[in-house]
Amino acid sequence: MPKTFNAKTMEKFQALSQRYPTKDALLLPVLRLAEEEFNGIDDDAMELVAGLVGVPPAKVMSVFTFYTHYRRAGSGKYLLQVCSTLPCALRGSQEIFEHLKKKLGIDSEETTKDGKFTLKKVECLGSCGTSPVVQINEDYYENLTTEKLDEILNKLQ
Amino acid sequence: MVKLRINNKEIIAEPGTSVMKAALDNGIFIPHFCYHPALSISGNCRICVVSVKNMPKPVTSCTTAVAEGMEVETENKDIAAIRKSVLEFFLINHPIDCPVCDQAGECTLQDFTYLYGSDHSRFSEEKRTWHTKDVGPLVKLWANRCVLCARCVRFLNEITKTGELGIMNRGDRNVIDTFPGMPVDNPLSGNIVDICPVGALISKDFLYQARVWFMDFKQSVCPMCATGCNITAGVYQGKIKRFAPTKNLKVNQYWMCDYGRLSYKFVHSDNRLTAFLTRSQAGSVTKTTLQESVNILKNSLSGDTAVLASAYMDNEGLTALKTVTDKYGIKNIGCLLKPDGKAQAFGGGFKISHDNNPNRKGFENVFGKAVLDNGYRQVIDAVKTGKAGTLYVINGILDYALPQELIDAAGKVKFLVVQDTHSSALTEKAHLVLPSCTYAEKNGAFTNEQGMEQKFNRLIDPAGAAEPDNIILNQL
Amino acid sequence: MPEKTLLKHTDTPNSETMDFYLSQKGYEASRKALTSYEPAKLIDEVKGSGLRGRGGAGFSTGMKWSFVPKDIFPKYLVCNADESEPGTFKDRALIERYPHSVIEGIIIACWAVQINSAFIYIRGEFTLGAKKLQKAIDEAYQKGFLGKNIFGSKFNLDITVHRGAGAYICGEETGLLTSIEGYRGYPKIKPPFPAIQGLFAKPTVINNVETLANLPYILNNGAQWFKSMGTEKSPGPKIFCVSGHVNKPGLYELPLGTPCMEIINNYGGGVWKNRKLKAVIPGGSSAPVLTAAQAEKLNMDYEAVAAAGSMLGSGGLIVMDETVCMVNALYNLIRFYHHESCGQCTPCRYGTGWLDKILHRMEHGNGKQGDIELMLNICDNMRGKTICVLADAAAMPVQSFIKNFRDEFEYHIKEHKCTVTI
Repeated sequence: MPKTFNAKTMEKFQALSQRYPTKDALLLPVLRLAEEEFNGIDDDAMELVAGLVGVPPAKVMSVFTFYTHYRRAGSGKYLLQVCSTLPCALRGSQEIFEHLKKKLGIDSEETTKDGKFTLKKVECLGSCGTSPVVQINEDYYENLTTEKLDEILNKLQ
Repeated sequence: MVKLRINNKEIIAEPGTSVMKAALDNGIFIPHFCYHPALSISGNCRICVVSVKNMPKPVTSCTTAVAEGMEVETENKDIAAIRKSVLEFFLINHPIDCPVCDQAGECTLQDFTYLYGSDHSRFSEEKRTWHTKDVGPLVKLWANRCVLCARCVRFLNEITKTGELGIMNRGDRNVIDTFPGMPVDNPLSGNIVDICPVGALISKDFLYQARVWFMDFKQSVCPMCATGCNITAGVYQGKIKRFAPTKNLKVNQYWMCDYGRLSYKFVHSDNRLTAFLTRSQAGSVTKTTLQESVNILKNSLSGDTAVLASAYMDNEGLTALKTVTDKYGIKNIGCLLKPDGKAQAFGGGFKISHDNNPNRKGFENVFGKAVLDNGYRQVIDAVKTGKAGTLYVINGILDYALPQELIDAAGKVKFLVVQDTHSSALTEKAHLVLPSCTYAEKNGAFTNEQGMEQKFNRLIDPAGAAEPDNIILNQL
Repeated sequence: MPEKTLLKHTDTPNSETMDFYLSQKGYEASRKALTSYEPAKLIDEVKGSGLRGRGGAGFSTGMKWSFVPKDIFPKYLVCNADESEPGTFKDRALIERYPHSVIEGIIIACWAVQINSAFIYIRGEFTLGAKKLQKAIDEAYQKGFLGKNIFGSKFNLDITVHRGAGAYICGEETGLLTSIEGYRGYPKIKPPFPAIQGLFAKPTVINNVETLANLPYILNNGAQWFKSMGTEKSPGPKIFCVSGHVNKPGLYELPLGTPCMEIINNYGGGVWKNRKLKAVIPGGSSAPVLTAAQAEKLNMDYEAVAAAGSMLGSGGLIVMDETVCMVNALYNLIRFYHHESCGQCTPCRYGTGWLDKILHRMEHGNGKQGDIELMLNICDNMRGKTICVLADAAAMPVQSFIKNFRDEFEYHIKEHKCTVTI
């Protein structure tokens, strides 16, 4: 189904257009708008973005798939991104990841059946001083232990 | 201008030229995958390294500009070692499926590996594998073979500006692909097969048709429009198997359109005329010879003959025809023209002409503008009003249906002679049919829309008894 | 602990607000710059302070500015807030906790180079940081510190926050520019250098967050004050990021030249769990690893770390205790570089993946004779052979881990298991 932006998002799009000297440069910010409005990006969203920015859809896909932080369509309500790079690994990120895997019954890049959680093992989140760290949707949860994580997950509805 | 030395040869180049271009322009080859003279510089393949005096390490020649007094070496031990390592990196994931790869024999990766590569692999891990799929009506992608030079992506961004292909993902997951449901179907799509240095983008039309090392390659000119793209024809066992563009910066740069690329099929079509034929008043058809046909024709031509030639005739045929019309005092002369199409312009100056005829200019040069513009109407009128005793049609237009008014009017003449490459509603009515050669079966020349006379070569033997127009006409 | 400058207020509640910043002489430096410094004089002042870029390369900031042509407009400034080097987390603190210091730094830099449009490229994961920055920028516009005729002068300046989307390579300054321009973050061929032809093909200054945050203090306190800290060639305060096996990981603002062990023991609280130090990566994950013995003698400034065979880089110390398997640690890092290589250049695209596969095999007990030599040779074939230095950044850990801990790799290959068992 072809997608369209709602009026509020279109307003944001117009405002963004004022900030950049070329139309191409709108591509990354407009993908963020799509991510926000549709809670994830699929092929239809990419076509919409292509039309607005004035580039071929293949270019949008090529850019979208280069960057790993955009939310893919079909992600769970909560996207759990577990940092796994060395500074986190030294302080137990693997244990955190294994715990989540077991608790949720899913592996990296998978979503629970109820659509609530998507688990993703990611590279450095830039929070090495407060490792291990998990980003849940927009928020960082730092200095984690499995117990703290359980508490956090219990609060997520 | 900048003076430099490459391999001790003195070279003069424009400021800003890359060392790569300066070398290639002067007959010095530097291995490359991603560099293409008509596309933007990408610098990604890293194999085009050269040594420059006073630079600490070898540099990529495509990204290094010429400088006054520069001394460049394109082959030495250090460079060979780097090239060997780049090839090793390519080959760790590249399938060794050369036995079934269409690119084999004209593959840059094969050629460079033969020159610089290793005779064994140090890679003992699993190769990464990707899709093999159609990416357009003409093109199939073997992603495993891709070296990610991005020539195809740049071509589609910069020349056709259609951008159907992109590099998806990141790092060694990078892969060429289309957006779902949006194939590479622009009018120049076949060119991405030509510029792909490996067997990743393959012409579906040519797939498994012939091994390139068994083919003969000859130069020709595409007849499908007035641009007159220079082409290289690949011929195998007497059949044309493919066309590819030949570089000509004044005409077609490095490209040709898909329509022209596939036009060799018209030469090999089932309805080619292969014999001289006479048709009696009662309608019975008899095979005859060139000599007999010439004799009949000679007796039929006179001042009240009308002649319809075409802008698909080559200059040799047109000149011969002019001699014939002068000799017999023929005044009613017209030109059959394939109707105009839409002119299409692309990045870098490549054009598909609106004029679908290869030799309108040539016709004008021989018979003049008045005949070109008004002759056809005059001939039709003369035929309709019974003023013409004999109508002699010399057609040869490819992929074309003759105008219905001509077919209708032709029934009114006493004697209808049709000289053509393919059978048609008109040859079905003709009293004398002369089979003629297409451009692929003779040597000749067309004058393109810029007024450049371009010679083409005989690629294959004529179909059956077909003869070039000028050979027939010269005997009249 | 020496008195803090950059991080003085980052633990104070509401430190990110305009009101708080104004209470700390906020925006006086930029006002002073615009009203009493000719741009050329300002560049000289910053040159004279000896400030070196805090993003990793350590190049003189004033010099960088002076390369920008004066007569070409528009020009751009890009604040590199794509902090992605594993072991580095200093910019995030400044952005989230003291964003006005960064904004003020941008105003000063833009006045010095006469730039009217700045972008802050912040890594996509820093959602909170992007929000705090945007809020601070909005406040600055309201106060007339940004926008048209700032501080009542004829100078205009706009700042746009541009969010990345998860790509380490966009921390490389030309990859960052390509990313803002709306493409895959492929680094660009140099020359032309960004100072001449950068963002949107215009002259561009690219400065790190911490570099810019230093500028208000240099203006307020003077170049001499700045030079009174650190070493002669590496003056000023520096934020060190301490992570890994210490009792108190975190940010420590210390003069350049502070001994490595002092940072680990006095500030980081020492190696955790009463274990012994095994190795330190002194400047973010790309910097060659050093042994405990090397760390004992190491002072943390650009020259001394280089002399020890590594790099100060972004100032991120990753501390590893005696239980760390160095094959495993290297495998982790190479997996990162494999994941993050943009894939533009052949040697990096395939080299990082190949190294990852070999190390994966070795870590899982399937190492083979010849693997070490093969890895070192792959590194040789990657280093210096690509458009940007990510290939080098991936190769340096491999080379240094093998150089300093070769016996562990040999043990893995021979015994198909680890030397460490904890």
